[in-house]
Amino acid sequence: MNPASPTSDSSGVSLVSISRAIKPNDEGFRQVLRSGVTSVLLAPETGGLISGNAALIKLTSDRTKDMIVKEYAAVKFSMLGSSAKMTQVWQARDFLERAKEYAGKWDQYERAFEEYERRRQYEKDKDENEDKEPNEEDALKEPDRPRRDTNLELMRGLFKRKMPAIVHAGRADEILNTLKVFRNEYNLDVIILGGGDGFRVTDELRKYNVGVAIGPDILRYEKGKAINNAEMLTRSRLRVALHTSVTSGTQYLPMNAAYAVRYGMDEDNAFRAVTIYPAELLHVDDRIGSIDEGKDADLVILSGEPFDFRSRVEKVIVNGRVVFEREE
Amino acid sequence: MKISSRIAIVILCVLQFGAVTEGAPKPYAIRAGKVLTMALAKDSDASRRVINHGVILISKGKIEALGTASDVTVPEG
Repeated sequence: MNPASPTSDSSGVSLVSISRAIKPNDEGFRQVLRSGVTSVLLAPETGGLISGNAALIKLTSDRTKDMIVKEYAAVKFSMLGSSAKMTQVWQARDFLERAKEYAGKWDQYERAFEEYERRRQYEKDKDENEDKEPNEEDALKEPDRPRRDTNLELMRGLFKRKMPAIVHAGRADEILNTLKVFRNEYNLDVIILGGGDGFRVTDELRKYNVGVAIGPDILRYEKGKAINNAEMLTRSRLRVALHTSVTSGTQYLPMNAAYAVRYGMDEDNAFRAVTIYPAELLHVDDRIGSIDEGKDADLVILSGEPFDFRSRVEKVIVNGRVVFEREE
Repeated sequence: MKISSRIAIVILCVLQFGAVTEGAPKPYAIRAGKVLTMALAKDSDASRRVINHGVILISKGKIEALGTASDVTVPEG
């Protein structure tokens, strides 16, 4: 079943927080940590139009609640196949329209309720000062509370641009469909995930200053010639985040970055693509993504240059604690 | 005050898919041959992005101070 089917009632589908699926002591997390990765965005596998909520966690603790940096960090969508199936675009529009309407109703209600509370307090204080009995007829009317929908509730942060929509799109037309619907029509903060054809549509991506999470393989071939997608995108002044998954091996992220450099990506940009750019794209750059005063003490100590395959991770520090130390 | 010395320091955040305090270690300092800060991502101040012979002071899970060995005073203890 497509969870975002526009004809279905979204209340019949549960988009619960992915954080509930976290197993803090998972050996996979430890393996990733040992490779020098301190934070990951945990998102459901792509499926249907909406995959679900993504949570940003640190690989640090025995307790889930201490791992979470941002529980509702993004919502993951997919526009894969949207060029062949126009219904995908219609479904996306239909869903976003409903979500926007829902968000608008609740925003309006919350504003009205705040005003109601303020006035109620004012009237109460006034009556007390004047030593009057409250007048039932003059009583303020509490605004009608809209129906709560747990799934659409998750989407409200998108319309306030508190979190991005991460949209899986590979082909150029899928990327363009994404920009048109998610960015142009609904003005959401968008990160393109995959973006294999990103280098073909750099002008459009640049127009909206949309970030692209690409990888693990950043090389594309055209007429036998290798094209470094990551390099092409960064050269167009786009923020690129390097992406790995459980399937490709999250722990290989530093090696993927080194691979991108080997094939022509600027070292500085490659380093940003695994540090400050993803932090900026996920709106958490006030806490993580760079070493700066006031930020979380998340550090990786290497034995050599970061893009040298021979460099070893000596120590990993998260929230000021040493969470990994290489044994001799 | 614990002081450790290594060659390079980076921080990694992966776009893929904490609290601090409780039982946090005492403040400590790290000395590193090279600190790749990635601070000021939109800034061209290279001296700030890469600090040679850097010191990082850590307290309560946060970075309290950052700079070269001559800039940052490591408290005794």
